[in-house]
Amino acid sequence: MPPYQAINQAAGLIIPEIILLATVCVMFLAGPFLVSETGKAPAGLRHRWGILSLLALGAAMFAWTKAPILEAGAGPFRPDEFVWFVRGVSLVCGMLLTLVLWDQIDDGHAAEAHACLLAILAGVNFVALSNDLVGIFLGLELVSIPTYILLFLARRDWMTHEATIKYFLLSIFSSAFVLYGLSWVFGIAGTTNLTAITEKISAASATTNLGMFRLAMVLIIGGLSFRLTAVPFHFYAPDVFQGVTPSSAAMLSFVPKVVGFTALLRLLPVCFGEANFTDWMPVGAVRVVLMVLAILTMFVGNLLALRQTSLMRLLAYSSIAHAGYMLVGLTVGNSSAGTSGVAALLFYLAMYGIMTIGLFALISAAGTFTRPLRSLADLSGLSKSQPAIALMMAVCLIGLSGLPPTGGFLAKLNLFLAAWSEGTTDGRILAITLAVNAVIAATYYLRLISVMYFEQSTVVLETSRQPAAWIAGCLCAIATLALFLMPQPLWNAAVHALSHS
Amino acid sequence: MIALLFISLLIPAATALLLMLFRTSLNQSSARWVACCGSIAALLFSVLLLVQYRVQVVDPFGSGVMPVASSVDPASAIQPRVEYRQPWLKTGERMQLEMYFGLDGISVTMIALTTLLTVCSVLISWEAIQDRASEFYAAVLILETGLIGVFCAFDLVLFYVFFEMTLIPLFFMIAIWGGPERKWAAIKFFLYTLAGSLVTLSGLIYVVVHTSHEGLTNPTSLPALSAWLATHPLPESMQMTLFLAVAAGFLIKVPVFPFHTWLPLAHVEAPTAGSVLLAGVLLKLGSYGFLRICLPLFPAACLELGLPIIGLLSVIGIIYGSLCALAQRDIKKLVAYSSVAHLGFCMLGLFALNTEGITGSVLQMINHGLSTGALFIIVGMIYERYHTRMMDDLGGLASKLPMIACSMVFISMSSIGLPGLNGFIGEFLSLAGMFKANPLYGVLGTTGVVLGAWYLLTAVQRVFFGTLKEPHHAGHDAVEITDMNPREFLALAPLIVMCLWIGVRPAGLIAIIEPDIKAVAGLFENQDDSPTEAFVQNTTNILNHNAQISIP
Repeated sequence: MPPYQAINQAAGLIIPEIILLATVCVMFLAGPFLVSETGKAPAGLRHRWGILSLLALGAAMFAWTKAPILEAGAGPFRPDEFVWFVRGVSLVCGMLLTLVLWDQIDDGHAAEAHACLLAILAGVNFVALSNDLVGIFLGLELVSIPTYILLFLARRDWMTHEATIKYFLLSIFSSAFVLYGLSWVFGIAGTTNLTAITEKISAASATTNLGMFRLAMVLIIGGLSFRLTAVPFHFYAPDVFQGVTPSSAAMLSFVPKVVGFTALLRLLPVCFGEANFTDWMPVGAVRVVLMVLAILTMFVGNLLALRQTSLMRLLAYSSIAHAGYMLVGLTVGNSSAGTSGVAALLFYLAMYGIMTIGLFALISAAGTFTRPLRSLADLSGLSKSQPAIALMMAVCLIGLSGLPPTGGFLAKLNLFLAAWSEGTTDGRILAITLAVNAVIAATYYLRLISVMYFEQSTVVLETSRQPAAWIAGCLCAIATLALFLMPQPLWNAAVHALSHS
Repeated sequence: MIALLFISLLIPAATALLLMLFRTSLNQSSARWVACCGSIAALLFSVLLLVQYRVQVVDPFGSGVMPVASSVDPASAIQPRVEYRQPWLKTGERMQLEMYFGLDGISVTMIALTTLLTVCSVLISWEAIQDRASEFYAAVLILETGLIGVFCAFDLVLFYVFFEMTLIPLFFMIAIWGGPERKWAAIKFFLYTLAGSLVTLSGLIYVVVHTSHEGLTNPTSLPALSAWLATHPLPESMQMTLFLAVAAGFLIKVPVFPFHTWLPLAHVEAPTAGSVLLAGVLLKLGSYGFLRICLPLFPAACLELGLPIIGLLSVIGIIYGSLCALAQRDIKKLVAYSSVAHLGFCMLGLFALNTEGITGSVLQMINHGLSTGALFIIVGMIYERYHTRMMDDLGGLASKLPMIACSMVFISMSSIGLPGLNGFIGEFLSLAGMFKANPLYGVLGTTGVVLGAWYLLTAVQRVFFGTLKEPHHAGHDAVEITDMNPREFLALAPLIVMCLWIGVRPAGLIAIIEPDIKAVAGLFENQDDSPTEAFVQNTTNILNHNAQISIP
């Protein structure tokens, strides 16, 4: 096959990402020309960029519905069912994140901020799409680098500076971890193509001791744990969440987790010599590592969240704890008995995205661009000053705490069922830890609700109209309730993602 | 009939939604009218449901009991007569959650009790709730939806969902509209019951996963699970562990001594409507859970552990609760502790594990709902007038408030268990069942009746009789203290009528619940043990006969 033909063929597989990246180029190129040299932009410019961003996402979604679903081959991309799921999650959440970002950025920097967000989403998809170690790493960097810019663009005070620098340094550090791990894989297998690596390992595993893969896997898990905010790689999260705007925090609480789990689900089965994760479950040392990570993450996240007074720090710890819940699903893996842990993980991931983005959207809608809600005290009396926002926030919080009637309940139930039905002692320990943590977590979510509803407001906060964030929050709250009543389509999607032959 | 059920389930939900949506445009008076109409509509439909159930199921054309719903295995101890099933979430070949709503005799009566007490709660909050009225009534109606949902859910997860859902509105009711210690009370109530019910959930999931591994295709459906376990019983040691796990949440909910510590606090801090629904229906979720889940699923463990553990704790609860009630100065706390004692009877009857005992227990659930609901309403009326509930500050109110005093005496009699009123039937059957199972507990339980008369009559005597004593600040805000007004009368009258009616003619009620109770009790008794059946028949006949003689 001539090279241009191969490129043509490969390009046909990534049309949604091409649409996103083309829009990114347009925004980066045209953006500076609409802003004067002093940095002044015509008022309302951000609406145009927001609409363009939504249009691009809509077009990408259309392309997503038409995108072919193919087997993994020797090529650079493998657009299988899993990619279909990740694309769906990233595009839907991308729309919500765009709405959250809408009024959280000044007119002068709107173009760059929206472009960064679209680039991040494209990066998420590339991590899932890549059939190559290098491709996966590039995807991860396509997420990281625009994130640094996005965090920094939204607001420029010393807290944001500190947060961005912290995130930047630790992110680079974790990328180095991952890269080192990937290079071990390359060193052992002698190729970077995932399909080829799988074949080599499954051919060799009968006779060879693949001990070196353990080192590679531990490095990869460690590096990606930074993105998942799994304990003990979580230290940056509270500081960064506290420093950045709510829109950036919304992005940080969700997108890195999607990327991290996508990369783990792509890389770990390969290291076990499985072409995909249909029948994959972690065994041996990797399982122990994942289990310890899951238990630590749940406990540390929830226990530290209990004593927080800063709203953003509290939510950062809550986001850490949720990573722990999802790690339970990953640890259980796709055991044949009972409910699939990976499907439960994917269901939880989508559900968590809806609830957390909704919560941050409402937090940004309740404050102003210059003075967002910062402490728990800022929430007090919200049920009187902004009853609709308080109610929707309560729905999202109840969802995050895993109580009915929200989709969050079913998401936790599935993880619990998956862990329990696996039938091993490990699985039961995980399930019980999950249940205990659900109670601990209920305490602080309840505290947030009680502050909103039962305490008199002490600070008088200005309010501003942020219809876009309000709409995003409203959609998320409705979806949280609707997915309780009709969870089957989402579950089917998660199972479909695993259905790869 | 299932349509009627959905109507009664959806009316409160829709009304609550309406109240929340038009929160800003509804003032206090319009909000309460909307809530009142909604709750009355729900009551009407649920009464219609009860009547239709009675006519079609219990006595279809005078020819005996209608067969159970077609999909239910006859071996099951849980036999909904009417059902509606809709797939909800299927996460594996043998893991299928369902929207499984159904009705049997017990659920249909409990639903009617819920809707009746909700109407009373709305009426009694009429003046008491000034602040954020529409949100308050929305919370009441959401609570009603959750409660109705629990009683008609026949899928384990769905049951659990509604069970948990009731926590949220009550949490808000206590925490926003409660007394001075409301925040702590609400959080203690919430976390205590949540922690318990998560242990319950773990136990339930263990059963579900275990049976699905063994080959049951729809392990969360209660009738199917019960039928399966009847033919493939779990090993006894496993049953005992699971029984204790599942019981944890229900023991806290009932509450059985020593898990009752959240109850007095929650009751004292809750607004009157909250107390009425909490005592009247919410606590019954615990005993209902035992009846619906523990008894059919873990029969061996119930035989093994029921009497020595739960029976013992119930007896302690009866005596301890009564003595605590005797020591209280706050009337509301007194009533709260009396709930601990009365639910002790309920649990005692349940774990007698025979037809008489379980019948008595179910009757006790309904009776306690009626009489304790009424007691809380009366306490609320007094508090609204005098802004105190301390018995030391009050005395001789009968001369000032004759109607309230009169109903208080009546309800106290019903609560004590005077023959001819509802309390008697429930306590009598519960204790009769217990005497058959274990005479010692029966005797100890009976002391509770005496103690009950002691504390309630003392309270009545101190508050309503003797020389008139009113708190100083009573006339201070220039509101004249008047007797019961028509609205309050409407809130209380239905409860009094029901107390009398059940006391005089329990046979009608027993006929509705009896087949379902026999199905459960059949797990523990020999099926052709006709003396038992004859005993109930005789007892009810005697009761009716006596009542008809003594009352007119």
